Amino acid sequence: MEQRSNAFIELASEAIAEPEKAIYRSALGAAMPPLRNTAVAQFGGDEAFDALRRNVRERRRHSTAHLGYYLEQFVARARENGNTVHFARSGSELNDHVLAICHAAKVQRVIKGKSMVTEETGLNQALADAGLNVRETDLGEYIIQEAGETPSHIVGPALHKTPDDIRQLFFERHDLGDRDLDRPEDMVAEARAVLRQEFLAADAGIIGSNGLIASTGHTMLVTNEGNGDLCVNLPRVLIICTTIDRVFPRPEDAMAMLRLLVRSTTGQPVTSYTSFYQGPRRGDDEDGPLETHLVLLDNGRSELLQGPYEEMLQCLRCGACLNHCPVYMNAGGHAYGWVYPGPMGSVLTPLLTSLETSAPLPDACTGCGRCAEVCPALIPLPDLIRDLRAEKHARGVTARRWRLGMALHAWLARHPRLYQHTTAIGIWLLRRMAGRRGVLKRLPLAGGWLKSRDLPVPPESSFLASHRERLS
Amino acid sequence: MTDSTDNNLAARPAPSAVFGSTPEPTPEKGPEVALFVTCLADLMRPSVARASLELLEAAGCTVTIPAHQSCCGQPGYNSGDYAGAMAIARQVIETFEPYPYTVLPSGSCAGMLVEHYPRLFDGEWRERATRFAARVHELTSFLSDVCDYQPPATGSGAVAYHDSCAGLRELSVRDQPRSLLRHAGVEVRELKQSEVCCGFGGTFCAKMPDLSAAMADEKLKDLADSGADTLVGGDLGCLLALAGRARRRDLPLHFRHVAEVLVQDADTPPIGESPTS
Amino acid sequence: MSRESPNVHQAENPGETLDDAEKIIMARLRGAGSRDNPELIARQLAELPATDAAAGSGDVVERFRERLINSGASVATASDRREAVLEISRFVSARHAQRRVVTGHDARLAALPWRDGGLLPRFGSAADGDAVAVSWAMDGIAETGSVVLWLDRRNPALNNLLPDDQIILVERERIQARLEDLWHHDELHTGHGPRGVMMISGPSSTADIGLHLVKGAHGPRALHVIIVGETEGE
Repeated sequence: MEQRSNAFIELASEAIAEPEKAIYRSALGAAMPPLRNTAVAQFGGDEAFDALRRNVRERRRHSTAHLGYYLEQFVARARENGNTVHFARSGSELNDHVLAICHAAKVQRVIKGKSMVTEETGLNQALADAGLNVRETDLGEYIIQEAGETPSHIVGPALHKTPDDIRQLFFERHDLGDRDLDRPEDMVAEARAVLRQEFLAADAGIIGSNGLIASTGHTMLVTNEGNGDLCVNLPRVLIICTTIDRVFPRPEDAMAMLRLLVRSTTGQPVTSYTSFYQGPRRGDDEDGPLETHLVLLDNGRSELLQGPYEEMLQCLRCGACLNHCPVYMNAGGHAYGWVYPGPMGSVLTPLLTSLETSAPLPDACTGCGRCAEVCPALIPLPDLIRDLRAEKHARGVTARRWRLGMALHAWLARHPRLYQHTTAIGIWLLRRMAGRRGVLKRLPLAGGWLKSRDLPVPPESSFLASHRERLS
Repeated sequence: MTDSTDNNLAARPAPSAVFGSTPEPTPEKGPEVALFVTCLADLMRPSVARASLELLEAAGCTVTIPAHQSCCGQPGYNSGDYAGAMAIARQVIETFEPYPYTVLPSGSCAGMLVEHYPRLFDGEWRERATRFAARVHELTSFLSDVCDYQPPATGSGAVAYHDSCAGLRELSVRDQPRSLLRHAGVEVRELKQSEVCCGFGGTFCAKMPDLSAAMADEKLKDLADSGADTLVGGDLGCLLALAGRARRRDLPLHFRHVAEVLVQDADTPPIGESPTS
Repeated sequence: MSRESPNVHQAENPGETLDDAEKIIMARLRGAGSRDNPELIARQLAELPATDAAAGSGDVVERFRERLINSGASVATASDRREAVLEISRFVSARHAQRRVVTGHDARLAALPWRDGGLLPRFGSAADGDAVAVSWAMDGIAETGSVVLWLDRRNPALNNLLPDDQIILVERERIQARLEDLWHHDELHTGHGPRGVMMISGPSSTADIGLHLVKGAHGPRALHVIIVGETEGE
């Protein structure tokens, strides 16, 4: 997927400048905060939730520490089970594998379940360029595919589109004459009917996976719509695209994770469909794919192992950090300019692409800490975001005037007497410029603050200066 | 449940549990406290520092104000200048370490000392920073939890309370300021989205002013909806940013630090308002 | 930390093929996990603390029923096979103007007295246009209110997905407490059991349009679970 992360500030400002969209987003945002409370309540309170989070973290840490061992075990089991397993170092390698599979199996029509990994690799474009017909089937993904857009949320890809937008889109895209699409139910029914035909005609299904179980070779798929399961079970070819870091040692480890994943994603105790697939049609089975492929993508993940950002490999992709991030709610998912938005995206995007091509993302955070509070994987997102700022600072990605300003500030702060003199001069200047008003509206070098707010004027004398007699 | 003994999420242990020699406050001789004024209170709002001093003394503390103080290092730290922040942290620890308690009228500055100083270091300095952190408190939680202070019930009116993120999440400051305000006779209204950030975020508000303003506007709307016209909080950063936004939009809303309200400082106009307005 | 050219694939060395990716990635992973001694790993894994989360308390059947209803399913009980057929018949009559159902080649389903309910079963895999599927679950899970279906000839996957409605029978004594319990079958740990396992907890649903929950996104619009078996004490 083409990256526009360096335009974050402009893209966010454009999003804010569309008042109807902003109101819609904030209405969605208001619906999200109870999610955490719902999840916590279902576990029987904060303590139980935290205990489970810690438990799952131990399991994930263990699997990450021995990722090579467990991945090898998984791949061996998956091959024994009749799957063909492929490895891809980069996005384009993944796309090449999928294309080769499709060519060999004479696949013309592809149906897809929601997969952030294939968003990351730009698979749809690669398949379309090769002349294949690709149809997204998750309702949200279908909507944005029809609209020619990209996902704005890793769980609800079309949540940026209002029901009115979607109604309009369906009228434009479905040649079905005069009809009633007032209610969401009507639109869902229409999409169901259109997509049912796509499902039935497809040669291959492509899905992602929520987890790989090393001891059995199962891949886990979690959906509410059931579209992913249709992609698995209807076409003759199945291709599962996932990443090397999704491995769990045993079924029980995947089950422990599943409890956290679903409650954190939607607040439900479980989704309508949770499936575990082991391989192609067996024995006297009457349905199921005839050939199954697994494509395991690295794309930078192995480089995170044993490094300062290794914890990011624990991410469950539940979206809770997005739903609770005030920056995400205001900027919208597209502002982040790549596949993964919100706090997890602000960490993952620089790691999987580069800090230089996503420089504003680590700054898109007030450090409010809500994401860490809700993260089921206990990833210290604000700390990782701050560490990325430190890398920006160290590598000169941060603007020179900020770096110089910070250096000067740090030096002055360590020399309190000089600091007090300097600030006294500053106060005197600010007061002169403000005149009789309580606030300043214009000031050189403070354009950021003053763009959207006045600056309250400091009083004549600082506390320390006026309480010299009390100081020790 | 059987689980690892990880205590990252556990509440910060009481100071006495970590630092055995911390003197317990006694009625005869109150706690000895060093007041870290914080740079925003010092420069932008001395009334907050005065009120803090007054409250600590009213609570029976012996208060020292070390002259050798400036900023806690947050701006640099949050901008990724870890080296600069470390240098400041060392100096703050050296200055305030001799006192049994260090108190700050700011959740985010206190959080910086408590949560983030130890993170900056390894080895001996990390231990030193951790020992120091156990004796650092945000003002309202210190008055409530350590001093068991109850202000005289001579206040009046209704305010809404703004939880600053650092105070709320790093230091669990939530009930203490509300309880102090109620004791003082002030009615406290709750904001609907009290756990959502106001958009200040330190340098965030200067780097991403449109986003920051959008977040501030949601907070201001929440305030207006609460029926109170005054927002009280424990962090000057949030309050200055919100007041600045409200002034820019000419909204009839007022902003004060909780310490000013607790000492009923009527002489100082609300933040961002001139004495005549 | 970050890489120079994401998503821009070039063979990293001339002459390398896609097949080399596995060797290269696995070598990198093995290099990172230098302590990959299988015995040590197995010991560490065995020492990982278990979790009793969501074990819940009280009657498993009651919890099972409550959670299913919360997820938008309907639940009925039947003390024997005849009653189960009558319950299937009631459900079909209430929602459909026809009497046909599709079911897998399951001996338990084949043995149901279908005629008592005036139903016309077809045994096999569901096709587009089938109105109602009837399936027999391997297990029920009380923790999440789920029925577990093994995907084989007895329970073709498409029967769970293509029909408008799905009716799933589960024996009362097969209702287990927790998610982990669905794995308490040796067949699932070998490559010789079913090719897949589906845990179904409600009708197909979506909230992708304005967070408004709608049933029947792609699969069944209604899920009706019938708990079959004598209640204790009867």
